[in-house]
Amino acid sequence: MRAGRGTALPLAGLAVGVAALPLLGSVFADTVMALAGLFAIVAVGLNLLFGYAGKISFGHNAFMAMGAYASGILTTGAGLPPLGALVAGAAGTGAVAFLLGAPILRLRGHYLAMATLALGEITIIVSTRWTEVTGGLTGIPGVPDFRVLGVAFDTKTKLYYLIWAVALGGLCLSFRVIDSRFGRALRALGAHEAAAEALGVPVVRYRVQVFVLSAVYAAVAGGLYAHFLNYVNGTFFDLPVMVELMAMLVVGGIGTRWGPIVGAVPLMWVSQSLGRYADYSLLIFGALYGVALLFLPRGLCGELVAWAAGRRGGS
Amino acid sequence: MLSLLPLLVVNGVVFGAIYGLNAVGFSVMYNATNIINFAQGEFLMLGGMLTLLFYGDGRVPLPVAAAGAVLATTLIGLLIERAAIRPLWRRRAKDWTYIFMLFAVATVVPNAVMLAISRDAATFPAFSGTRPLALGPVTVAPQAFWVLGLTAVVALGLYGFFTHTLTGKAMKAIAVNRRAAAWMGIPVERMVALSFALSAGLGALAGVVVTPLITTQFNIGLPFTLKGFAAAVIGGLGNIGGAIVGGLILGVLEALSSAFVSSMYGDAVTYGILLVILLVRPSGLFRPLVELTEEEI
Repeated sequence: MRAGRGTALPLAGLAVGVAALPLLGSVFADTVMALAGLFAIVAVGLNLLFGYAGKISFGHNAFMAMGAYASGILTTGAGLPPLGALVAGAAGTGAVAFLLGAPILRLRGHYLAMATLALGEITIIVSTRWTEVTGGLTGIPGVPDFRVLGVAFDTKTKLYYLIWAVALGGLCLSFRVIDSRFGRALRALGAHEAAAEALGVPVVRYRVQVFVLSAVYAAVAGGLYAHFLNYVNGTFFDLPVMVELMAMLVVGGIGTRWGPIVGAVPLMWVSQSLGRYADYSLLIFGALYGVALLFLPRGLCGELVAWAAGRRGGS
Repeated sequence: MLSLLPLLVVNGVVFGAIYGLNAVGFSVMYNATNIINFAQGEFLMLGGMLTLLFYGDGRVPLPVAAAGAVLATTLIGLLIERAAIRPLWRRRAKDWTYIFMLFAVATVVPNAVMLAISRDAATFPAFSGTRPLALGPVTVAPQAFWVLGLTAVVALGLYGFFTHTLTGKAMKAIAVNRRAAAWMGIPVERMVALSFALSAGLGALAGVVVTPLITTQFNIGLPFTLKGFAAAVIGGLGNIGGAIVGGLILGVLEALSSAFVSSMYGDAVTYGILLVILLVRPSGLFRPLVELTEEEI
């Protein structure tokens, strides 16, 4: 509860920082931060699923891909307006997650991790080979710029604002969820499923709901990514995306409010600053989050909170 | 199409044996630690890639290169246990930490191989020539017999190990109850290290025998991880004989589906089989060697 009231100030600070960044006039900075925002959106959703409800997913890259393809196909093929396509993609992906959620979330731990990993791989393989719908390896070129209420987001900087507006909205929503009755039930569920059930938490319904919510976060990010690149290709959502997301979550702090943002922003800077060393990206990400697991088991945010609590002289 | 059936089954059995060997690697580690090794397929990849590295273009005799690769992979397995797993073990980290850590290992290892050895697909010669042997209606590559022979030896050896030796029984005891095992005087950390060495060595062996049949590349680990896990689950996680049978079932299913259903989606079909098994019958067809009541996360 205490943490619930302390979020307004950091949130305002983050919003000001995000709004001020383009004043630097660096398109590179805007681009990197736009990508960081996209990954932060997915990470916020994953954090709800994994950090609070304790359900691992190595397959959320699949939901990103579904959102991206929905935006790409519906805007280029069906001529839907971008916002309509984004909403349809989010709803469709949510429906897929709903159908998959009930059976797959019965699995725990290692089994769930493997099952979601398989799910992600299946989605990416199908997306790159189902040529009639997805364009196969060619992908879907010519995705139009995002446009809503007559405002066209036709530069990286404008899109950066849009992405971060969504990311901050998603973050606020996650705070609301965490502090709600639902959020407390999720934490109970994550701590001990049987005990939560005994206390009257509707375990199956809640874990499916949080799975759907996290899938929708991923789909929205995927859809925005399609407009960001004006192009969709399944290979963009292959396993490396999942590795980056996991690294962001672990480094930022799993099960902390700010962890996804704190992890996403610096790691995206790292990954985009490698230049001709881009080949080393996955090596660095894997090593980074392995090292974080060893030395920062609670992530940057979790360790900071623990340190502050220690300084206050309390437990 | 049906005339192809014997050939498909034989091919399925050969690849199934490899999945089975991989599944055995999963099972060995699971029996000692309850850890599912997300990097299991990477050991198989290392076996093939390191043999290639040592073999060069024939500078070193193939058997020596292969033995060196298996030894090196075993050492890498020990190193992973020492550097990445033991610290978690000592602070009694939660199960998910191991999953994430091994996922990190499965990211670092192939990328290190890509940068340090090669990013290209390659292979080395079969052990005893390539002249196919006629076996009734089908012809079989001699390498296939190496695969099947090795699988049989490994399965029998490990079965004996887990049921008849004190070390094998001690390993199982750790999985059942780590603390009680330690109280009984079992050197828990040494057993965990041994299980990593064993499953790394087994994975490398599988990689060595299968590479002449396929081409190997830095990124083949993940498919073998998923398929090996599928085989292990079919066979009842931890059950050595079950792992081999699970591998054979998966291999034959894969061969048949690629011929009779569609080969367009390749591995996606096999992963689909894994998903269905996990959803319908996660306990597998056979009893696990170590029965656990609940896997905590």
